[in-house]
Amino acid sequence: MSDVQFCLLLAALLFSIGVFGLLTRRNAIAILLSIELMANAVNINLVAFSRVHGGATGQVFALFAIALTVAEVAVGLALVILMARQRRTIDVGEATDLRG
Amino acid sequence: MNVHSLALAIPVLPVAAAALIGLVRPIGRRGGLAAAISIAAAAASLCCALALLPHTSAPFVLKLPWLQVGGRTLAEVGLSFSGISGPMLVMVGTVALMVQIYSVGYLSDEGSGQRGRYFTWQSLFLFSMQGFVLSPNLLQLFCFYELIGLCSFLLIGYYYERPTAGRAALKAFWITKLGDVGFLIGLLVAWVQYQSFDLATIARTLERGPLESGAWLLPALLFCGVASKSAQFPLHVWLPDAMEGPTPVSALLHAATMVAAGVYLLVSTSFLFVASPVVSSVVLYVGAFTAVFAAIQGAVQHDIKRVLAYSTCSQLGLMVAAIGAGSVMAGYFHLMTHAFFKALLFLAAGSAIHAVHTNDLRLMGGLGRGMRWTGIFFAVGVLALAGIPPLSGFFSKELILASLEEQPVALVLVLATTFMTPYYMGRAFLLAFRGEARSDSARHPHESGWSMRGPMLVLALLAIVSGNFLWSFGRMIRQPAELHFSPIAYLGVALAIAGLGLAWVLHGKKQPAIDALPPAVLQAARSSLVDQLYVVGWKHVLFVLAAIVSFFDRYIVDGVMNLVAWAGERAGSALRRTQTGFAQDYVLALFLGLLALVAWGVWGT
Repeated sequence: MSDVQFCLLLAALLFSIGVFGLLTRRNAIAILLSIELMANAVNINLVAFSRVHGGATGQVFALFAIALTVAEVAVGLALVILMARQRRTIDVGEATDLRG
Repeated sequence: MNVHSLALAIPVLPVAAAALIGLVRPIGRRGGLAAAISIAAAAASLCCALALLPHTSAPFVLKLPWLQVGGRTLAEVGLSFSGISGPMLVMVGTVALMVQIYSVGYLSDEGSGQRGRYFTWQSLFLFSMQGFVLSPNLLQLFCFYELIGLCSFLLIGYYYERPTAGRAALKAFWITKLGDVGFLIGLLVAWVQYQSFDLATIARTLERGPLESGAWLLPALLFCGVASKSAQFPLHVWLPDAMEGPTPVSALLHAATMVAAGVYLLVSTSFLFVASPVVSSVVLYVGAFTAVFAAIQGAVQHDIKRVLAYSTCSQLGLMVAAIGAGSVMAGYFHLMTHAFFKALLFLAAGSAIHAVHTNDLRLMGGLGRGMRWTGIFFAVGVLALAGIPPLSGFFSKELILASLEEQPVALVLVLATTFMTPYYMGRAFLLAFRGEARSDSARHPHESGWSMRGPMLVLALLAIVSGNFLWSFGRMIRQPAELHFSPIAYLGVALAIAGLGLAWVLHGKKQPAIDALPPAVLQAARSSLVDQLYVVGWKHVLFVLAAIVSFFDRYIVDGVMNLVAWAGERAGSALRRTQTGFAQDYVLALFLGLLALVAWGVWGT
């Protein structure tokens, strides 16, 4: 198994853990963490393919993605704080206002 | 001025006057100024019509294209002047001018603004009527026909604060509309059968050869419009009620000109009726029946205007019958002479009503002593209507009787009418102007002023001499004009004198009997049976039809709509269960969808 395949396998594993967390955890912060895992799995992929193709494009792209993810987390955390203030809980199982 | 601008001026002058009075408020508020403008326009319009009259030998048509669809002209708007329209223009112009001058005196008690309104409608009416007479095609004829109906509605409802006037105006409007629906369908039929609305084009098509089938359809539908406007049985019911309007309006619209529009339509489309003998005989018998039916009703009325209204109805029946029998000349000429003497009769009756303040013959009597002029004018009208030679009515009645010589049934009906007409007119004259006064107001009547007597004098002269225009009239409309002096004509005159004699015997005393006919006849004739038939028709035919249509609308048309709405609602409430509102369910669905897409991408293609 080459380095690249190892990297891809690691990324797939991380992504799957992220999806699992996203679908099963009720805590809003845990869900944010799961999303972070999935984003970083993608970043690993970018860096790995960058190495295969021998260019800096993928790495630069990964850097941008990290920066954007930070912004996304900032928004996500703001939402969690708002939820905590309004509902006194951050359990997403309680937030089912859209039920038909 | 050349003939074209003369012809254009005839309808344009009155409509300009109507716009001026109706739209410029300072003029409309001053009744005297409004009257002056309206009368000046009517007089100028009449002068144009008179100046055109010598040119009937050279008919012309002015046209502008109208309703152009896809490069094809569907209809034209224009003026058509011919020997047919020439005399009608002069007749309408004369009567309208006389009536407008008369109205100045008649309406002098009215408010200024009221008179402004009155003269606006009068001018608008003159425009509609002259436009109708000058129309070259069916579409334009229809437009002006409706305008005439509208003016009639407005003028009948002139005293709008009276509930009866409002009802009479509505009744006139709806009953005439009922017949005009036939006219409207006739327009469609004309287009389908002849691909044209133009009367000259239709006439040319018919000359080339008769239609393969359905030639009766167009004249039959047109006759529906004629019957409603010219008050032919059973669409005559609006005319007696229309007497709610001011008397000059009755004289102009419901005696001389508007009701004549129907007959004029018959005259100008007579070639269609010639092509269909079945419809012609329907026209003949409807006319003859109306003549005698309305004459019976006229003989039992107490209201002097209703006597005249039924008389109009009856005389229109004579005209329609003559045209149905194929003699356009007789019907058209009677239309001319009748207009003059019937307008005269109405104006004289109006003069009496103005003095006594009632229409009721039971409250009149002896008016001839205080109102010598009015009495003489009314008598001239009665004699002309009775057809006593040498007054104008004799000439036209002679023509009508001669035209019916080969139609025994219709001839008998018309002869009965020629006997009854002098009777009921003699009765009205004797009850109103002779004998002793039967109410306080009738004891000291005041003769009307010259603004009312002047127009009556002109119309009286025309009622006396207009029969002599027969030969020049015949030349204009290019029909042979001759008096036959056949035995039937003598019989007609004898019956007329007998009718007048009967009236004298029954009502000529100092204290005359108001009703001389047997009570059974009175009751039958006053029972307004036709009106009740309309009510029954509405209740048991129209309402049933409406109920069926309403059922279809409510349960079939709306039912389909409701079914669609119900199905949508059920589907919605079934599908809403999939919306849990739980965020992670949506994420799961997202991933499952993504997986499905990937699976399809890998194995699907």
